[in-house]
Amino acid sequence: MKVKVLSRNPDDYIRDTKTEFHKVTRNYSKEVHPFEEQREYVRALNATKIERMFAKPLIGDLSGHKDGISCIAKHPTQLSTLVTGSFDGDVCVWNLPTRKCMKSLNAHDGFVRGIVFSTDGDRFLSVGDDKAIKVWTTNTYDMDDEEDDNAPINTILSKTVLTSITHHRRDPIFATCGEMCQLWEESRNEPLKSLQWGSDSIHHIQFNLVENNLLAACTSSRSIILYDRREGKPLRKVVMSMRPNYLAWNPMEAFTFTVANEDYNSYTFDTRNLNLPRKIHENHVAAVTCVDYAPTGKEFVSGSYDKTIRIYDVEKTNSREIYHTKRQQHITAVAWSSDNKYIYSGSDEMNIRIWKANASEKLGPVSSMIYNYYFIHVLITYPFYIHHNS
Amino acid sequence: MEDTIKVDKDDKKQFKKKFSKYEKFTAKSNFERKPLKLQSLDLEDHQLKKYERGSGKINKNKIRTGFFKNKLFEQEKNFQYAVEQAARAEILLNEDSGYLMADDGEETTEFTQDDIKQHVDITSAAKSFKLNLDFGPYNINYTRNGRHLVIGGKKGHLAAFDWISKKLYCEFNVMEEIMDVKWLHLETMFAVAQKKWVHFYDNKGTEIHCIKKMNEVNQLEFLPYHFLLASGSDNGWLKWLDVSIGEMVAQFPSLDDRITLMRHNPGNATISVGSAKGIVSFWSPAVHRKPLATILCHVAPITAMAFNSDGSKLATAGMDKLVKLWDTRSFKEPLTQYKTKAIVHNIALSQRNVMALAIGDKCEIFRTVGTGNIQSIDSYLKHSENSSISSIQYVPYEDILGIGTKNGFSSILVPGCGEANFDTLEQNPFRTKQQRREHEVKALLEKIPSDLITLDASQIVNVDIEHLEEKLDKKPEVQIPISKLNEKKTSKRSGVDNAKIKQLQKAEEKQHLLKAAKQEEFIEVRKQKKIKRNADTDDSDTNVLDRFRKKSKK
Repeated sequence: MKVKVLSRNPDDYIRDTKTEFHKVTRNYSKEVHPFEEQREYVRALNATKIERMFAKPLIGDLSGHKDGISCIAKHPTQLSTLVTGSFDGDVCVWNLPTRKCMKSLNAHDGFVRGIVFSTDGDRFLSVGDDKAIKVWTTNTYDMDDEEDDNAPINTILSKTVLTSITHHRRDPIFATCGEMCQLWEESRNEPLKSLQWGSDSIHHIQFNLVENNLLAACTSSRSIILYDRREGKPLRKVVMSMRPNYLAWNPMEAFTFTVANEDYNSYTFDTRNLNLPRKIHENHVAAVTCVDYAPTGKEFVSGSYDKTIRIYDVEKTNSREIYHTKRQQHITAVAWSSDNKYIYSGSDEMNIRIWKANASEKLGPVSSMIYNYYFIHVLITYPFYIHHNS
Repeated sequence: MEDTIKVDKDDKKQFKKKFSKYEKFTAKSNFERKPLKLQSLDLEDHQLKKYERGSGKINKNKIRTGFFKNKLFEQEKNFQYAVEQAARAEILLNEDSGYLMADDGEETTEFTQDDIKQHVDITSAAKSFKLNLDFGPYNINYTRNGRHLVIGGKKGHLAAFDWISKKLYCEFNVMEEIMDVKWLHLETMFAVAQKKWVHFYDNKGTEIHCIKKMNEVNQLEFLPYHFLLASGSDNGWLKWLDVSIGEMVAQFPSLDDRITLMRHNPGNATISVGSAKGIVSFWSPAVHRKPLATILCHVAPITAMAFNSDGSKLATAGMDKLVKLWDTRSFKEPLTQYKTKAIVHNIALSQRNVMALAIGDKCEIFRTVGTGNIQSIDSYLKHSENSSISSIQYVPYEDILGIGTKNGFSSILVPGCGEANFDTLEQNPFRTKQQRREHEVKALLEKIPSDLITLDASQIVNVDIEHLEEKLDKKPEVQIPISKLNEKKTSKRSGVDNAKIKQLQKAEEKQHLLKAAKQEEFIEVRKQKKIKRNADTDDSDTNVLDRFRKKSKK
């Protein structure tokens, strides 16, 4: 008689040491894989739903303002600092990791119209309805020592109404707008230059981040005007069918900017061809009030009067994401954090909310194993990494 | 001794034969220095067929556009490539299945367990063992990876253990009658049908749940891919419990007053109930109170039935002393039938379709021979216990048959009954705790909804032709919104308004009619053009040099 009985040697199936991978034997025959089609169907269904299932976008809020938020400014070098202004003239400096207000300043009489950081982030400038440009220090360490700390470093009184402010990316130069566009240097109390096109008032202005002498402004006569700091006259003008509320330059492409419009849409323009917008972003059901670009330049966030925030791909008409909560009122200001991870939104009901830019992303400390893995990976690819840093 | 040496030699020969192709191939590729471009092994048709998923090639002539023709052609190529790759991977399989061959003048049925034990290695011989227990008759159940065993005696004795290493997990008496035992999705939990209710225990013997909704249960079945525990009770009710969320999925009475025999089809997860009238009925939790199908299998009460591991075959036995083998896709007539001397009380089918019949205290084992619809069964082994057999089950991925008897439990060697090569990602007898946990999470993520349980499991990938045809038939008609045309006049509207509406309706109607007329006209013109073109091509005298003539623009 010839006989053979299945007898497996465990050594063929069990790994020898814990550092090895588990041994895997495959058998692709149908009999060993029951319900292939149905399981694949469930898998496919899960794959399409899993991002939605884990979506949990709201992280928290910053409360402390006593009136609706009017503007938000990101720190150019620190991820943990945020400055906001409100409709009652208060300005707050926030520490984001602790979500605490580090400094509350009674800055202006009436609305705070705009806040902007200087190039190094040591100071920030604010403009308000009281025609004043105030320069403040960001430093919050010796707050209790002197009472003067709550006073501005410098106050410039403008002759005209101020509605918005923007700072040059490198030079100590900033621009304000109102009845006209004015260029200022930080060390002087008089404007360097005044630029005007027609007689309409300008309600928002923004420096280009790449071609950093370029400026774009929204006017109340439904037009967008482009300025160059080096020229004596405005460059170009686009007239839209309804009022543009806000605009943001793409931080990666010098020639694109997106306009939040009163007609419920956002428009992405190419400065080389202003006849037609490159893309019209739809979906909002009320006037779009504010936009901000992601640092990657691939996406932007828009806030609207319809109490929602939407995230758009620059190349797409429809939004990829909509964020809203029960108590959130009309959005007045949005900002996308410099690390591309968070979105800040300020709204009418005095609250600043912190959202994830990617709703289903898992936040929290990186586990030591993954960290070690990355560290080893870095060491392999860049053997002198530690040496250079130490 | 001589025999064993021979076997070794044979093994080597087989090995050489199997890998010779591979060796040639590697040597060649090394020589030519083309390691990336694999040269095709000679794959035979039956090898390829084994890995084919779904049949049928696309009829290219039926596809109208070149775009889709290309697309489907590319798709087809990819499918074919996948099948080939799977077939090629066959040479990587570790194990060969077992066998038992008689020499001249001998018959395999003559060999006793002791004979087989003497001729196999020590570890295999140790897998054949016997337990003498006092609380029988015993119900047994192996886990799906074939590593763990739970036995439940009618008189309340319950024991769970790793039967290979003989490591005992728990053993106790539930002090109540035990009707059936079944492992749940993992070896950490099992369900026990006790006299009143169904209880869940973990592998340490702790009672986790008492399912009072499942009362007086005779038979339990677990559907691992759906996470459903099915029960057939003494009052004829069928119940499905989703063990992942702890909710009853469906419960309704079956055709019978009492369910004593119930099995699940591992190929499509339907529950089949064998009745005293000789009928086997198939049930799904998605279809309430109505069987998916009923088949009159025997003219006497059904005593035993079993599905094979992929659910393609069903073996039934009745009081008429007949054993019938059915194809589960067409129940017109049995593939084969076999007359026994006494009533069969238990049937088991192994992964390689070796059939075991329990007749009293004897166990007869048969091989099913033949392919497709032509099947016959050959007697293979015979074994007898010293008390009547109450339950039998083959161990997955092992050449072992487990037998629960009135006086305990025994496992016997049946060479060549188990699948030799398991898929680690599907079922792994050697898995660690970590791997088990990962497996559990993945299995839960892939849990198939209970609504998908039908007789044809692959229905989900088929095109719903009926509905599609209906849809396609509807499309070409010009649809006039009748609802708008037949809008009734309301008395509240003023005469002016009504007139306006009428006017609008008329305009709309006119437009639609115009559209329809235009479409008809267009079709007519196209037809005529086609006829004309055909006529042109037919009439002209074709010359070889015609192709150099200037083409007229049409």
